[in-house]
Amino acid sequence: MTRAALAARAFCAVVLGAQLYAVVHAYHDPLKRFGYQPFAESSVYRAQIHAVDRQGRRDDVADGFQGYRWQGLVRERVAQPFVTRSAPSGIAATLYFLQRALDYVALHTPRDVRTLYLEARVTYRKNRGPEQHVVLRSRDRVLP
Amino acid sequence: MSWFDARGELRGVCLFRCCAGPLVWIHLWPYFRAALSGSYYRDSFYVPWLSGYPEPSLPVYQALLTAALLAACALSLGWHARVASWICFGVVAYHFFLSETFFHHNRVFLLVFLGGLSLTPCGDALSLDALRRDGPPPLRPLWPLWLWRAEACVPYLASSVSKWLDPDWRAGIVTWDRVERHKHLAPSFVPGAWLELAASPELHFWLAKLVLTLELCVGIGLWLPRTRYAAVWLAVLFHTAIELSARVQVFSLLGIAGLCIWAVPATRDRRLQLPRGSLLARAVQPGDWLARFQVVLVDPGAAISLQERDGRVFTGRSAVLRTLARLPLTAFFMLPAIGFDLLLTARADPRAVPGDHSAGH
Repeated sequence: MTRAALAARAFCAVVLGAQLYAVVHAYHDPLKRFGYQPFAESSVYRAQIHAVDRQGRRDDVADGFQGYRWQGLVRERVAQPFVTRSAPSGIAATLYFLQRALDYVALHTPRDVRTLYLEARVTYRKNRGPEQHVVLRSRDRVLP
Repeated sequence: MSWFDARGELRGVCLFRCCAGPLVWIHLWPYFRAALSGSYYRDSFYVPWLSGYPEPSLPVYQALLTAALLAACALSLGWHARVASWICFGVVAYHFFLSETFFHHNRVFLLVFLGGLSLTPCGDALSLDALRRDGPPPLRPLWPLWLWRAEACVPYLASSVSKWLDPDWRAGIVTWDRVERHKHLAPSFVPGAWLELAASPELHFWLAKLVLTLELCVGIGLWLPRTRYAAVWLAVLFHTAIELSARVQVFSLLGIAGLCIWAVPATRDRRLQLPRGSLLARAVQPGDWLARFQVVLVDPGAAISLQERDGRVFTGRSAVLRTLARLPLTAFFMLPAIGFDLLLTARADPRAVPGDHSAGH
């Protein structure tokens, strides 16, 4: 067998092996990356997000906070979490992105000198199941 | 010769290549339009896949998207098709991995198809490159096509298996809930009774199983020569239904256009005898994009006949139906007609092959 034929076989084995791994791994992955599980759920969620300061005072982020608007900072995936809406990629993916959005907002609001962290109280229903609640919290911000 | 060493003509791949340019445009256009107005993904929330992944400045981002869109045009026209396919695949893949927020299954599917194109000499036919070449298209190694096909059927199989394993999906709760929640968006002319039926859990109990079986049939049926045509037909139905009921970006168009890669990698292997000037002759010559037929024009008034790959000969209505079933634009509509034709002939003479006048040849 020539070196090219061997390389072609190895390439196919690597690609198919990686695909198989991704399909199996997707069962434990919130985003189901490369696992092809579209429309896996029919879930809805909403989140109350607060900017919490050092004294524990809470500002509702839905109305804007410290000169920022959530919708201006987050335009993908969890841009409108304040009203009940579909979680089209599943609730696990939504929580995954919401957690990262909280961290992103905490990190990208330099004019805010009050907020210590952001907190999201998420209410969701998976496939018409009972309402469930989860609290997500951003990393703490460094304040002057 | 092993399947790995097999060679053939990649006409189906070339036909898909023609469709790939618009798909790349549909995918990249919203990003390009935003970038033109001076805004891009780094201006708001995004999640890098990997730390250390090179991130572009806005001018570089604009230039990359422009290059990909121009390459997409070249790809469809078949102008330096191989290079164009590499640029399209490279930029779409690079863009995809800029942020996890860009991840959607249909985009992975697009990446797989662009990757498949970049692995194959996709400019051999239906291209400006082919016009510059003398002689027939060369025979190419087929292993990239087999790999591409294996990847292309994974979405159907993986999706179906995962949903069979999910009790909520199996029971129809997922589809039922989606319809129930969105039924108020139905157009006002849809009768209330229809809406009630569409949103009934009993319907979805069976519909879910039907959909999952259909996905499995497509994923497996595409591999078997005897079931491939039916699987293609089901796949078109499946993707059309998805397009009508959900927003899935390029998935439906890609799913239908991507069926071209399942065409047998051989051309002119059916002999079609057509009366000169007949309607079918006028339809076949421009519509035979997959080069299925070696057309022989005979005197007006002579019978239409089609000699299949396996040597069977069909005449009359059966020949017409089978010919139209091999033209990409009419193929979808012919499967029910062929089934009906088979049924009629079997009833008339249970031993007969429809239109076959040369059984045993």
